[in-house]
Amino acid sequence: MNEILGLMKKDWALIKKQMRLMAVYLVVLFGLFAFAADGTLFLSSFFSVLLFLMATNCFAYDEQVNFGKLLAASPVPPGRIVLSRYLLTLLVGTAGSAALALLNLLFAPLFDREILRPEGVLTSFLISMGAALLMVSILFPLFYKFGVNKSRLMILLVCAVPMAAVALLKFLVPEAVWQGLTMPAFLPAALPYLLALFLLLCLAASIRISTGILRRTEY
Amino acid sequence: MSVTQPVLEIQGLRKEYAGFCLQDLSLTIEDGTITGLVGANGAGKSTTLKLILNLIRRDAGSIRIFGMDNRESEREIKAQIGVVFDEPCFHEILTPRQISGYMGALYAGWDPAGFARLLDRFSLPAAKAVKEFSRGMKMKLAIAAAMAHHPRLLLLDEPTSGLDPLVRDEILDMFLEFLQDEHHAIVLSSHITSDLEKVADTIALIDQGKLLFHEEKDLLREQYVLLKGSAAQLAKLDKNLLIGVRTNEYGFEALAKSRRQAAFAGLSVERPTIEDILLFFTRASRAGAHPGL
Repeated sequence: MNEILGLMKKDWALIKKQMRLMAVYLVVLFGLFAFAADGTLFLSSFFSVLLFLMATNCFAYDEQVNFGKLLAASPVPPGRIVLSRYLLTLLVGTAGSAALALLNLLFAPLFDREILRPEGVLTSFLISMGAALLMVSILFPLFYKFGVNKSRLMILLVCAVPMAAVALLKFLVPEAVWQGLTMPAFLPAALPYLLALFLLLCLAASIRISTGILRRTEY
Repeated sequence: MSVTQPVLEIQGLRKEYAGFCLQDLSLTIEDGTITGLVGANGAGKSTTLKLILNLIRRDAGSIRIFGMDNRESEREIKAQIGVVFDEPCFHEILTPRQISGYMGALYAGWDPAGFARLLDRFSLPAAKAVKEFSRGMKMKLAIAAAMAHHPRLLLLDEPTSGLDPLVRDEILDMFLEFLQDEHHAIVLSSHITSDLEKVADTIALIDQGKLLFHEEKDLLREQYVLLKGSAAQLAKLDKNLLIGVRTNEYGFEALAKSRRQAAFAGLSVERPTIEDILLFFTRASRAGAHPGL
């Protein structure tokens, strides 16, 4: 555990400065967007996703100095190295998102908007966090395998391929088939829990894949 | 050499890449010694060090460190090894104090006070970001970090490359102090032979993936002589007595076994440097000869 905390401390030291800068941007933009039609919720949700992706900077910093080689020469097992990065990401993302959600709720009485009711704010942030966790689950193994620079093209493919698949599916499957589909009665109520379970499984698989990649990496 | 527990035993080590093959390397390193691992660029020095650390996987052979297999007991072994790579691996925006913070989590034996003492000794500011350090300072930081968890074995990949003589001297003195504990050992990869002349106990020469020899430094220098003479004198010499010959516009230089000195009457006979021995052996090996010791 000490090793994990030490590495999280190292990553935090790397991104601390950027987090402060992000906070300044957020305050300024918060003030500007407060009077926009949708208020601050969209901006806050966007920053929530960014917080989860702050750890990508740690990958870049590590690559710059070949820190992975030093870690591989140390007694720390690959599993703990990987876990420390995911844990920091979850901690920063979740804590930051919670703080942003609280800010929105505190400011809500100033703006009489439906979306800023507690249920709306919570739903919005849970969706952002879910999207961010899915991106982290896909991106981190790519970063471990290819590095941040080479992964950029992969990231485009990761985003573009599902979108293309959905468009193709809609084009290939006749309209009548879509209209014939009915949603099971239990699904609307169960959907949030099913999605949460799906995300947890994605995260677990991502950690396992990242650990396997790091274990096989040669320097 | 006194009989001590081998700290590192390599048997039949092999690693193949496209265009390069480290072949059947066998090496034993004793406690209380500094072994200089020498060779030209691309000879296989760094590959050997990476194989010892399991940073790359070997194709064949065995590596035992402190009597344990380096794959089966990887964690236990690495806790007792200090490593310095040819390029420092510390983040530029962090300070030595911050580096000490996380290194303490990586190594159970990390000594923050010891690290601070080493920083003082090397005149390195603890609160300054690494990006403000010169190359020499970064290398001293890497050495301090490698030593601060009280390792038994130091593996150093060209730690003095690109450093000025004053800094190199300081670092070499540090290595000699490290060896005052007879249970410590150092493997120092370098092509700065003057550094090895100063501190190495044994020299291992690798060329094109093959170990040409591993011998005590002092014995090496005693076993060979550097001959100098004219082209006419070279023509009369029995070439079988020579390890290698280098001709120039003034005559020739050749390395020969010192026990054959009677055959070298009339020639200038000097004690060779380690660099002389390495150059001649490397050239002879590449020419297809097998000099042997």
